[in-house]
Amino acid sequence: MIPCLAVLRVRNRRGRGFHLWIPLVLVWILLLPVAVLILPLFLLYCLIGRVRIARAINACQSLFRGLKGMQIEVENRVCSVSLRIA
Amino acid sequence: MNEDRKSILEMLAAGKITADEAERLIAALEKEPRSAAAQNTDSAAKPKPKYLRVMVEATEGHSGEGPTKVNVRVPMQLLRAGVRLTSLIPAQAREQINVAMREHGVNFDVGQLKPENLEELIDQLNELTVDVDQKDAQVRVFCE
Repeated sequence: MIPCLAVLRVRNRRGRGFHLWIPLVLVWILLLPVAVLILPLFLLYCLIGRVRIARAINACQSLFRGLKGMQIEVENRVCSVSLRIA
Repeated sequence: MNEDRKSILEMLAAGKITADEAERLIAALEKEPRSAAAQNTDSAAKPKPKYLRVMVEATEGHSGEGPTKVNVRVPMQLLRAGVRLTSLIPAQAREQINVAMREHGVNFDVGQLKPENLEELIDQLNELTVDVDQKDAQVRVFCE
């Protein structure tokens, strides 16, 4: 299943900051027209590069699915930023 | 009596092998299932790692903001997907990559990289922790 939510947390050294809950479902929906526009280029790439289309789609799909559980935290003296994909 | 044991005894009866050789072969046959069973129990006891954790602690950041900590948790699923993405590399580009890698002393065929190979690597990573200690940074890579 593709990730549905991303949580962005930014905090400064005083402990002030914000949490941003990003519903990725909406992002995916917004990106859908872009995907439709990219599709012919993608198919062209598959034809020129002699890449199997089914395998290419499967690889892209598994890339999106694999994002679930990803966590990145960066912290220094000035601020800390954390991104979690759920 | 299983087929292997029977064929060993038949070879002994036919005089193709000596009694010592037959004994050694039977002993080897007995060891095989035991070691396979031991491996199975080992893999069953240890849960498969789900994430690859990379932790970096630098004493001084590049732009001088003081000590910097980076903590990245990468799902194994994403690593598997990354390996699958190699199938998207066109054949000509793949050959160019192989040549470039060979020039740098890495004799490796990107086309041979498959998710099954990654599974073996992940199994080995389960017991491995990579620690890099440098003057200005510490890097730790492990699975969890």
